Amino acid sequence: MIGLHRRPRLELMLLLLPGAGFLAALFGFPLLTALLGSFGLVGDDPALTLKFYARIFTSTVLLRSLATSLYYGVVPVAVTVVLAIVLALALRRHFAGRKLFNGLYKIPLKLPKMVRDPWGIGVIAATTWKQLPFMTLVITGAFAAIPEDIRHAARTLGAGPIRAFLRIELPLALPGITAAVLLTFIGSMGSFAIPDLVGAPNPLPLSVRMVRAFAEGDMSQVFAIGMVLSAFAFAVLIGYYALTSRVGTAKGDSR
Amino acid sequence: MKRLAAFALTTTALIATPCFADAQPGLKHASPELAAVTRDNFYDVVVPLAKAEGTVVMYNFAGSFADTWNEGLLKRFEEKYGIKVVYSDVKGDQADQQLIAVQKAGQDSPVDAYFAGGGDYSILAPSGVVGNINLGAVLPNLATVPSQFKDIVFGVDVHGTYPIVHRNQTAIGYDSAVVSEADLPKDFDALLAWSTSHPHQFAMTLPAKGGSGGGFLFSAALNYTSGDCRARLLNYSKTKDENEDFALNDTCLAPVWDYFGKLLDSAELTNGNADTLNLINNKQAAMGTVWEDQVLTFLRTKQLPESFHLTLLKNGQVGSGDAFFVPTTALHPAAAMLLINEAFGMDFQAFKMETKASRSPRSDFDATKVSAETRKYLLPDAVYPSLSVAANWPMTLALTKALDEKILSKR
Repeated sequence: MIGLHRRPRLELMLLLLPGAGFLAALFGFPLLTALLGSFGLVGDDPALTLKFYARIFTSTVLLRSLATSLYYGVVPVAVTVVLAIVLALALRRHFAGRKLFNGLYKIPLKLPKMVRDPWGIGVIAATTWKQLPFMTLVITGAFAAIPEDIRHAARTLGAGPIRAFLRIELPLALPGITAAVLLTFIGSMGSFAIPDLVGAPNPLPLSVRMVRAFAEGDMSQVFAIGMVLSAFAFAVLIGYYALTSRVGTAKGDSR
Repeated sequence: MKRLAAFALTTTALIATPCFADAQPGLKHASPELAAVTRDNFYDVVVPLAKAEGTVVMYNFAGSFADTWNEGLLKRFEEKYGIKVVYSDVKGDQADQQLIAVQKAGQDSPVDAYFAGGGDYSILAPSGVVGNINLGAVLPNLATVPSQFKDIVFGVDVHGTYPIVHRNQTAIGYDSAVVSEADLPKDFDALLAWSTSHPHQFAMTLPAKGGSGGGFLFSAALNYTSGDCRARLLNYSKTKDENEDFALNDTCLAPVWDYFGKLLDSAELTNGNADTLNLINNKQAAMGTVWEDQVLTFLRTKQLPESFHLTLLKNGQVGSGDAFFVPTTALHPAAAMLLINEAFGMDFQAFKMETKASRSPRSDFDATKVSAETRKYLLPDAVYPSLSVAANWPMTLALTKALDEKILSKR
């Protein structure tokens, strides 16, 4: 142990090993395998190729699937974030039946018959319902973390409730809101069960096509679709960090 | 002594050769006696070996068949032979990939007898998953199974390794309370005319999501082609890429795409076989693409009205089936072979026909064993088996992708 203290870098690596090793084994290795597989480098007869990506970006069917995945990713999140913010704000206030209301939004709603509709209303409704509790909890926490004094100060200095919300509270809660948006977008864009069960048979999102490719044993295509979906998740992640760092910088400037 | 042992091994291998399908190695864990078994000495050889193994692990890919296996076969098998059956319902796609991965890793199979999709042979066999033992030539209960269900299955030479134990039939299902006998379409043209005059009343299962839709697509393709083009549709020797190229680019299929272009203007596409039946049960559609056996299950569980009936269109609709096989590295091969033999026995074949409309591959199957109550739910004798045509699932898959590209992607 004394020896380790003299070698802080080794000590640090050993301390990181349980967490980082876990991530590398259960996340990094499959991701690397999928990446290699998407270039045709996994399997009995490995050969470098871009054809599985080319299929996604040249086939009309798969391009529409990509668009459908993005649609199923963006629209439910947009609907959910608006509802979640409204709910989070409502839940801050005290009103008769607040406890009942607090529980109600977590109870599964009886979905009306909205299956196979071309606009995917059923998918959006079901995904919104599924994500609403999670997003509301995160956003409620983000708003709760803003001291009441700040809001009161804004009101004292002449800001109306809407202006105080838009110019003071919303920017301060933005890191929490964007984190919730990020996580729900990744989940809804790659979700399989809801689009498969209640979505329109045409066009199918990439996640459903991915499962079809798996059933056909077309693993390289599965990997390529997986990598494309992951690329969008990473893009959103980078966008999140860019946005939150700008917010942080802006806060620093204001000081 | 070593020479004697080598001679004995060589002799055993030579004797064993007849029951193996070709020059490839057979079952990894088969004893020399099992490798040499014939139909005549099957029970004498296999029963003691199977009892010594003591256990057999079975996979069932068809969720609706769980009761059928357990009530009709497994309990009786365990009582009869004292061999424990470890049974699992699996998702076929995942189990196929699991077995392929296990085979590639050189590990033993987690299953001994696998009831798998009839079209899955082309996925499993190239990886060496399907045990290379000619069940069709060895199992006594397969003696009366014709070659088309054990040797050349849906056009693929399976060497008796992948016999069809359950046969099913795609069909047009309709609610006779809504569609009268006089209005019932008899051919594909009449169906299009009916669908056009009854928008959203004909439910077609999306071929990518249910075999009744794929079967309908292939049946329509056969109906609207002739000569070389039709022969090409029935050519089972082509590769996946060749089939896809043909389905996507050959102009001889233009009438097929023209047909679906018109049909899908009025028909309702559904998310699966059960989705189609639910739509009809909920009176949202009156007619749809169905499987005969699934319809019986839905009728028995009151998920379809008693007025629901079946028919086949002129020039035929696809009939298919599912198979039982022993994986190459099965740990209990003798018990697996004994179980598969029992599944082809007349009692179980009659049981599954009565309970699931699962048609028998046996040529000597006694249709009188099926009750009148069940017969009224089946396809009428006037159309079945005369209008049943064999499936070509690799080609159907290619047509499914072409339908996506040519018709669905433009909507």
